[in-house]
Amino acid sequence: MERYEAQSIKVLSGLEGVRVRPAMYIGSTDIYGFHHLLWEVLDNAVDEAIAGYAKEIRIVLREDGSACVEDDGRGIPVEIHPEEGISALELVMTRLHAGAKFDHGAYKVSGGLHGVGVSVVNALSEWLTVEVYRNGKIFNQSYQRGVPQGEVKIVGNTTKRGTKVCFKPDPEIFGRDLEFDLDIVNKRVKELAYLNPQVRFLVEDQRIAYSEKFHFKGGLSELVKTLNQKKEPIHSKVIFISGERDNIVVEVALQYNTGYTEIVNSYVNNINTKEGGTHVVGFRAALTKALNRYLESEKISKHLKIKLEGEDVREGLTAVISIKIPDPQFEGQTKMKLGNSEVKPIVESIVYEGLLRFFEENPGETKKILQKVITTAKAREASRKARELVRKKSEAEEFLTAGKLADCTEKDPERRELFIVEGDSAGGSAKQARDRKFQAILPLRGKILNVEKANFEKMLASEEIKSLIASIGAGIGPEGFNADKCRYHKIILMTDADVDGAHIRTLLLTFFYRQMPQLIERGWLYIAQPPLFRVVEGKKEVYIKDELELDKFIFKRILSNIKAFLITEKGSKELENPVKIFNALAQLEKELLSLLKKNYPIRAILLLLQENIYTLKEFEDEKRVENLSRSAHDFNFKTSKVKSSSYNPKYFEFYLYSDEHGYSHCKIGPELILERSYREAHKIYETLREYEGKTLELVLKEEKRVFHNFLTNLHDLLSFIREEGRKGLYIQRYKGLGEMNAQQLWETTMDPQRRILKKVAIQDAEKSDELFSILMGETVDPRKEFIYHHALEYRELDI
Amino acid sequence: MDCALKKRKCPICGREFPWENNPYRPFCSRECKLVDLYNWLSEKYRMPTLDKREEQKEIKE
Repeated sequence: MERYEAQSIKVLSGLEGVRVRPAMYIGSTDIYGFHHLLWEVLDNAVDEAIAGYAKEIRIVLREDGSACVEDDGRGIPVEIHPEEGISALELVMTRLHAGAKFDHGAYKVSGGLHGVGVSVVNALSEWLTVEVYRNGKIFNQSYQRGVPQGEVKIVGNTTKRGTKVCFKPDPEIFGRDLEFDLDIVNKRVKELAYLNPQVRFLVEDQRIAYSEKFHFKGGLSELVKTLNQKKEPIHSKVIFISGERDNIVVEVALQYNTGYTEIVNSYVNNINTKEGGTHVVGFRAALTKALNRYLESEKISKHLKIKLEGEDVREGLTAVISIKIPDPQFEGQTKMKLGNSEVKPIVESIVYEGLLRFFEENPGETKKILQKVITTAKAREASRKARELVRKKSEAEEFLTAGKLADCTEKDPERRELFIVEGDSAGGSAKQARDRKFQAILPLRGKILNVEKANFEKMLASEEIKSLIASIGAGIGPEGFNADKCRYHKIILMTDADVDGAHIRTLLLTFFYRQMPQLIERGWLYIAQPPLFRVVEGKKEVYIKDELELDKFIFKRILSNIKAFLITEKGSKELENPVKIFNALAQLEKELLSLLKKNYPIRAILLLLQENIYTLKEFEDEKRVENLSRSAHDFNFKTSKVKSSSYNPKYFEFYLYSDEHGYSHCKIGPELILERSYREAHKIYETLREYEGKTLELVLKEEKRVFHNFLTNLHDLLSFIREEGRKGLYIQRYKGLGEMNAQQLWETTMDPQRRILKKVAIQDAEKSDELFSILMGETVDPRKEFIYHHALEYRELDI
Repeated sequence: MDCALKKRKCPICGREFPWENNPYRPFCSRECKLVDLYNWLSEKYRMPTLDKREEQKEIKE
């Protein structure tokens, strides 16, 4: 007994320091320090579980203000310790840092924030009771403020195994107001339950008769899912990686969501390391490295390649990192940062290898992640470049003085005009032609790259984009652009009427639509309409806008020499105004040709026009559509079965196959009505309907020509008139603005009195954007096909 | 009419978004607008075209 007392005094002298300076051991004596006692006990139970012995941990908050933690592990040894001569249980409960001493190597890793051990809890508790269930017996020892109240006693028999610790924090240390808070306890227990999926936690609060079970078999993955619950994950499968090296156990789970914030929770031995540390550094390094590595591999298409930086992989990342390490060193102000330098390379290599394996096995999920991080990386790059552009005013001014932009002298932006002219030579003519008071000229050139043998790509060089931005003077980027600062209230795109010109125009329109839509909305963007033809007759010369106008000119000219007769059963009747019919036929032809480019055969369209199909309603009637299909069949078209429309199931449609122009097919259904060209064609056809099936006789000087069924065979009639009408004319087709001299350019295109400007509507720009998107599309083959099929139409894209 | 009925899709990410009162139009977000700007400034937008000779042929047809 004496010996025991002597012993206890010695022990007490060790714990005395704890009571004198409790904050040194548990951080503080506030609500956090108070609960720290419970965490310390809880961590010991979890350690037992990590070691693989405990499966269930019960936490009870009792009415008297005490708490109990019980596990079903091995139970703390109760035998007499060979060196110390007292029960190992008592040693653990009363000796500072005794845990490691008595059981060195028994736990690979241990929780307990700074390894202070349960003896600290004992020292800071008004009373503490420990019960050990071991070898069929119940062992018990009680303490008051760390002092044993007698030896370890056997108080009964049991079939249970494990340890139960009950304690009441000492009001002398913590004051009388503090008590266990169920929310705080639940939060911590939940966290532990996620981190230790093999353990079942039971929380009981006897003060309010509450009990709850926490058992998350999904572990870290389930925690990540929970953290992402209110977000929108971009891939369904949570990435889970685990590994062990040099006694360090690493577990990581992560998932990206569509948001922009990052959640990374890290744990060391079940302790939340709020300030991160070497394990988090290793994780981040691995994530960036692995994603970059995957991006470099051949599996990724070229245009997605970009070098990711650490910050790029953070947006929308939700991750939990949990490591278990035998000897953690904590740093930082709150001691919540892991300092062990050996941890970084271990975490990094385990996570890196794990990620690469996941990428390999889940290409679909990986692609979604890559899209996310690439978007972030590009946004970062763009943001930087945009900032630079806006900030570096000197650079902007450099462009203005570099001679590219020929500015005007007028100061009022409302009266200022900016001509964006394609090509240097046209730019030169425009500079000569302009009225330098209010017209500024910016020559722009498309850049052509030879990517493969016969594969060319066209683009606007970044220098051109920059000089465009600088000339407009309204800044760029989501924050930088301000339409009020635009230096011109007429920005006029002046491009050639060829494929090149159409490309540049599409690029420019798309750029304005995407980065400066406000200018289009304010009606400040225009397209110049240079004439397509110069027609010389003797000493007279005329500029003509397009093919249709040229036809009109020719038809009018031929009128004096031609007589047209409509042949009927009753004889022939001279037409009073044949030009009107010719013009209508030419317009109809134009619409039919544009429909032909979309694979609608001319004869089929004429058939539909004859049937007077012009509203969506016609396609609601299945019988009617069946009849159409049959008529088309009679015209030697192959047709598919009539089916419910993919556009809207209340309509019906069928496919029509034609071998007239190679193998092609089109859909006869409601969407045809939505084609502007078809609606136009119908309008024109209505004015011509009276000539259905009629024969026309043309008398030109002495010559007579007969056209049977001329409405259906309109092409033959038109070809004949055009040929005759051109005789004696010199017709020059302008392939580019460069072919006009300054005088011509001024007269036809730039002079406000005579020019025609087309104001760009937001819908026009949107169409350009769509076309652009198709051309930019990822899949190469359909894109190519589109170009070949639509090259001609593209040239004439009439916006 | 058919223009108003059509839903707007962000040219970068393809998500649908409201046009009205959206400072980032025609994009769904600031990030997508920036990505687009990046693409312009880093010459990512390239239009595939035909070989010059083929182009001529196409036009003549």
